[in-house]
Amino acid sequence: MIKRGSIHFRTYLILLFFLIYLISMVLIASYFIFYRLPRLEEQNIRSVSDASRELAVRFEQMLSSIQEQTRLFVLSSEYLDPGDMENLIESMTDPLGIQSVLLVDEGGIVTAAAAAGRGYQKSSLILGNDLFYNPLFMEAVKRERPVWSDKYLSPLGGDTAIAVAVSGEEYTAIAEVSWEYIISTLKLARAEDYLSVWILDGRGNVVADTEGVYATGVDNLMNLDFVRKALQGDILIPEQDFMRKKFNVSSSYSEYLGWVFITRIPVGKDNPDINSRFTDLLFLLLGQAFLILFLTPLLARPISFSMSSLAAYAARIADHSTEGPWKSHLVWEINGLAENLRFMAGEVQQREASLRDLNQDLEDRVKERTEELGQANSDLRQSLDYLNRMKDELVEAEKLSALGSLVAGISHELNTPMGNALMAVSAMMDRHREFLKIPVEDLNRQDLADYLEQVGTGLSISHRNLEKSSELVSSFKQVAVDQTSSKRRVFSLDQMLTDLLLALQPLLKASPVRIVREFQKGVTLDSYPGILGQIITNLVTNALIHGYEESTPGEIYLTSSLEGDDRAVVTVRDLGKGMSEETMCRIFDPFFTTRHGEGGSGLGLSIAFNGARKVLGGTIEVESAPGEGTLFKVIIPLKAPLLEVRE
Amino acid sequence: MKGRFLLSVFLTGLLVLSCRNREPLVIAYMGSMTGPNADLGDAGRNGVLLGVDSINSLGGIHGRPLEVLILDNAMDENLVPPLLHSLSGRGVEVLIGPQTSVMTRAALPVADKLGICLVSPSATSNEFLGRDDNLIRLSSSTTDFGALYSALLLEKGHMNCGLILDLKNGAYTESWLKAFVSHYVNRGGKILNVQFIDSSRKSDFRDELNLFLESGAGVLVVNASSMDSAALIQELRKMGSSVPVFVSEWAGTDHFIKLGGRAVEGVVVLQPFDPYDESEEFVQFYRNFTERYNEEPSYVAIAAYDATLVVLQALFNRKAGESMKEAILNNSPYEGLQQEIIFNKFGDTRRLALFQEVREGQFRKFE
Repeated sequence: MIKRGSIHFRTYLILLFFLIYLISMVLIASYFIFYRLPRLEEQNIRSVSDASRELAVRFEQMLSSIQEQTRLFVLSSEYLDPGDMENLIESMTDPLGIQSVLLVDEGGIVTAAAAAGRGYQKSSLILGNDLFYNPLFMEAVKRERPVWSDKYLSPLGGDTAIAVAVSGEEYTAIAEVSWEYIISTLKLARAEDYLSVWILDGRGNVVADTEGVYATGVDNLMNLDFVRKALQGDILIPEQDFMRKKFNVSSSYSEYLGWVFITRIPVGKDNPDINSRFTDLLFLLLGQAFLILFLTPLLARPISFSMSSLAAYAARIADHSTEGPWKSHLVWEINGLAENLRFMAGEVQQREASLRDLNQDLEDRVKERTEELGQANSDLRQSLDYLNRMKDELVEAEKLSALGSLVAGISHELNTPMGNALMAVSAMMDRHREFLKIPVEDLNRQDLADYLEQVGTGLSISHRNLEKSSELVSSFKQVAVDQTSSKRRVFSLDQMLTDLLLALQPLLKASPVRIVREFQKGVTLDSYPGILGQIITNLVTNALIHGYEESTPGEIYLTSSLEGDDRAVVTVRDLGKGMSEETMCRIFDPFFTTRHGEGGSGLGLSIAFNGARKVLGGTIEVESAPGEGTLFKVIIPLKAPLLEVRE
Repeated sequence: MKGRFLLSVFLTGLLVLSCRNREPLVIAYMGSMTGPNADLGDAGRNGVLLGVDSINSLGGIHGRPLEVLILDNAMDENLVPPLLHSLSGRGVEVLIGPQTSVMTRAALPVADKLGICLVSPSATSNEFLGRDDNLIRLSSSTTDFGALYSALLLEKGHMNCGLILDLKNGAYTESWLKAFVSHYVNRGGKILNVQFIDSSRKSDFRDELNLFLESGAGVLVVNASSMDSAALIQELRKMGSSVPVFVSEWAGTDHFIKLGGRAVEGVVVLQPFDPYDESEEFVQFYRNFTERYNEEPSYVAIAAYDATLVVLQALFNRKAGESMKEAILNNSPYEGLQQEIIFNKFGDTRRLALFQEVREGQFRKFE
């Protein structure tokens, strides 16, 4: 039976591969996120800081040639005559490098000028102009060393520019550098494409940047905290917020130029390097997922085909349909398994055949035994029927025997009063005859008085004895009625027991055993007195017969009392031989008797027990030990259960 | 009033501190950071950035940080429309700038079309006066300034003069000239010579100066950029003339002195702000500005800062459904750095102005 919820081998393989993929994906992603990424970030921080330093150094180197040229020009200006000077200054300028050169005397007056920049005025226009308040000129004179300008409005070019001023003994030269030169220098000096660079002058103006497509001079970044910090000293800030992104920012201040070089690299997914790696990884993982989802079914096909063929092969074997040959497959184990299956099937068939034989054999034997058992059973049933019949006969015989002894008892009991009465009546008749013999004339007063006295005595005696007889008869009648019928009635327990003892009188008189009675008055039962009488008679008889050796004097204690609210207890106790445990266990069994061959039927106690239980709704308990006498306790409800009418 | 505004911004900032990651509010600034007017552009930009920064440090506008897009028009009219178009789709509703009248003239039709409100710190031309357009101006109109120059000349007893004006910013110079002339001539002044220069044509201005000198005018009034004014005066002094010179407020920046050298000593210029203001707010602003930019704030920087305050207050108080211009006009008046800024329904205002004189390479109070 194939269990519900089981899956196909192919699905299993796909899930397996996918699970392996997921685990490897988690591992790779963890490796990337927890190991590789932090290192890349560290590397970025290092590279951003290296980049700003390098950039500053390269810029200084590249601009130093212009500064050197200017310095040489100032030095030579003091020795050259105006003609050579003009040639020299003209030769210095270049639209893409030094756009203009001004030579200014100590008083700030322009003494020589050359310009090559686009949109520049004729250089001669500026000759004689006063640049005394030009900050670059003032700075260069004051410091006595070359000074690079901040963003600078060219007096000649009419546009913003960058300039260097070099002071000599007498003159100061101011060379303006084109933005193009600065930008091409930045392009050359920039190490990485994704590195953003700001070159700021001392006042936070952007000299050049890579952000606004190399825009120059437009922006001022003094509003940024880290820029203000960078102008006060080199910084290295990881994860600086800027324009809603995070950057690693580093700066280097160039003493030489008075500029700050700030480099920044985006952090995390904004970083192109990290981003591209991340994208690669994502593509790799997605590609893998794609391959696994689409290729695994294809790749798993041969093996799953083998498995399903194997399953079909096994199913055919199981169905006993013609096996058909096993086509060899790719996987050795599967072929082996198929081979083993076929072998196993052969074995199974062999064993099945022998099992079938064995089974047939067993079936035959069972049939035989069943017949034998049927025979024995019918024999037994016959025996049982016979036994039941016997038992009924025995019960009837027992009842007759009890009736017999009852009749004997009654006769015996009646004998004495009836005899006495008869004797008294006989005596009276004799006296009467004697009296009649006396002739009337002889009759004296004395004779008549004697006669009457004697007749009165006789009558009294006979009356008493007849009364007693009548009493006895009515008692016997009651007992007999009780014993022979199972009439239910309300009766007094002590009265009933007294009557019973009276009926048992002949039996007791023949024995030296005395009855000691102790009845609680006023115990009234609504029950079956006949059955109860039989039980007590049986118990007393048993005590007499089994309790004491013949002609051994003894006592039988008969008591009755109320137990609780709803039950009565009658006990019959002797102090005789008692009985063994073994005997005690069996005394209520039918036909059990210790007096086989001595007239015991073995049914007395059994009938008593059944009567107590089934009719009276009570029980009989027994306590005994050898040599210590026996106690029977009849415990019955005050109101017997309603019996089904049976006759 | 400004104090209360900053306090409320601060409290709102605290309230919305929990939702700090909200989209920034983008505004734009346009100036000429390159070219001959770079001094104006730089100063204006610095003023704007300082104003925006002070608000951002308090948590932005209703929790949204401000971001400024900086546009450089290089004093080239042709660049202005494409620059403005580049803003579309970026949620920009207000632009501080442009600074010069001619750039403003180029920007206004495009701004009207794109629904961008221009808040110009320093455009002064009369042609913008009394028009219901998308322009808010913080500067007085040229009528005021032209008249102020005329009044000063008359007061100093200069009953005749010659003028040299730059055509490049014609929108402004022409209306300035009209205002000057009408005031000056009406009060008995005589204009002996008027010359127009074209700063885009590089020249030494010698021809114009010769004509001026020949006219015998006792005073030269120049209305050109700081650079051209400086070059012109340099040339004038080289020609040996020591005639008193007055330059228009346009040239009133540091560059004028840097480029003019000792040639511009004694030149008088109108500064549309009070550099001697000792109010706590101005002193604080002055200190912040010089600390940050290592230079003194020029009138353009102050005007731009004021423009920024106006824009920020309007953004802060703006009601749902209000256009930016309505928000600015409805919330008028504003507490500017040095004066209360009151807009009329066309978005025009007046500003105080003081004449200054160049002495020892510095602007000094003109006695």
